[in-house]
Amino acid sequence: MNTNELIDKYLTNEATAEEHKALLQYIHESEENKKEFSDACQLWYSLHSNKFNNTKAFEKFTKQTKAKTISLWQKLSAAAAVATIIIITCFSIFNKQEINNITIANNEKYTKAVTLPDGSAIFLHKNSSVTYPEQFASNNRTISITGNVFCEITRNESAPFTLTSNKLSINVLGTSFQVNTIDSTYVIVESGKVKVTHENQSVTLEKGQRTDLRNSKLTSSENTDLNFLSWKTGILQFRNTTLPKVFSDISRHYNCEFTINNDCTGIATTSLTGSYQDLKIDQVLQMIEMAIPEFHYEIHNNEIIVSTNK
Amino acid sequence: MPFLVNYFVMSRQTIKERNHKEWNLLFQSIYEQYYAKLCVFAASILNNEEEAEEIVQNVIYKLWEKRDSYDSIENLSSYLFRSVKNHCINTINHKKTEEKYLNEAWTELKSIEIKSIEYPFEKDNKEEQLHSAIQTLPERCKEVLSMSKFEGLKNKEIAEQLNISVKAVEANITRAFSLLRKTLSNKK
Repeated sequence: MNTNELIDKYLTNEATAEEHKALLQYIHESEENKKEFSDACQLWYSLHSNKFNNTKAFEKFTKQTKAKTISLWQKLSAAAAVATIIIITCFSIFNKQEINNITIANNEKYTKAVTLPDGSAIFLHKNSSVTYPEQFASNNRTISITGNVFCEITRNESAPFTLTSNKLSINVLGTSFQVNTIDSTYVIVESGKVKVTHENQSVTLEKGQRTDLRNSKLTSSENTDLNFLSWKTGILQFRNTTLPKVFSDISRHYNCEFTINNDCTGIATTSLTGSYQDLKIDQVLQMIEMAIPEFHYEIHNNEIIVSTNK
Repeated sequence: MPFLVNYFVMSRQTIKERNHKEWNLLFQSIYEQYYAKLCVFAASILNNEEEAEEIVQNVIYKLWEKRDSYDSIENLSSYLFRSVKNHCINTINHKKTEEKYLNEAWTELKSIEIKSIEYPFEKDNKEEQLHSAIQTLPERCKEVLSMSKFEGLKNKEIAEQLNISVKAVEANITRAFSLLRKTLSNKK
């Protein structure tokens, strides 16, 4: 490629990393080459700079700076108002009994169980946390969570239970359900009845139902995910489940990744039925290979490579 | 309370006014000297003229917000080009960035490019030469280039007026650029 083309490509942002190197080398060869490049740059700028009108741009800029000067004062007056509210709240808090909040986070691989003051149990999946008061008020129970948790709430009709996450708020009487806010946001009910609220929409879910938050909308459906609680129960179940789904449940359960070799045809149409409780991952894979001998599994740290058995 | 706020606004404005004017003049000169160049610079990284203007406006506005520390900037020109470059790279898709823009050769080329265009171009007969060279271009190239250089139209606007694609406009400008370079270097 000649250098003219290289310079064109560079200025039109079409050059590759290799071409950048070649051009740079050319420039360093001689002062003349460098001058050629500089001239080309100057010409390029002289052809293009008229498109950008600095007078108009400056007008826009002054409008913006003026607007900001005013809004700074609006902010200041708002801040004054907020300060007053904070002072009032501080007084009202000091008048009351001080209530400490407790936060428990689970940064380990294994599920952690937390018992709340009312006897309710919260199971924290990895990278999840719960914040709750040392003592619940007599007329309501409120906690907040992050991550993926399963809750078994003690029934108490005089003190409704409310759970909040960054996007959802969930009202319950007494029930067990799972809330996930990692990657996707969903709630699945194992027993009882809950009301899930996101902004100004809410849905009521009963046993076996789930709701998913997608594009700021709550969509409810029957739960078909047999293994949504596998992280808590240790049981993986498959009922005529296709292998891709089997792999995704296993990878969620054991925190590993599947790599499927190109020679594996028919994976999508092969299905598995079986139940595995408290097993290690290599044991599960061995049992699956016994059930479906067509495919072979190899474990490398967190990666499982699937290939065809020949 | 409202009285207090008003009092602050008024007294503050009278103090600020004089400085504000001075700052305004300073920023006006920044716009005159650097705005178009920074935009061409950003557009050549982003391949998008509208986004380029937005980024340059933002960078200058950030400078305005931090104007208390304006004096600590040693080299305004290199500060502006560097900020614009970083902003551009941040807006580009991550994967692309790694392979294309994070190599040393590209960074060095950009700094040579900046050095060559940083200062006002010498007022020689270059513009005249350029003008007559443009007249020798093929019809379509000349038309597209004139709309861009003399009427100051954006590639998108040219595309709309001529009813061709933006890519075609870019191609014509690149072709015109190549031809002009040849004509101008022969004249020397």
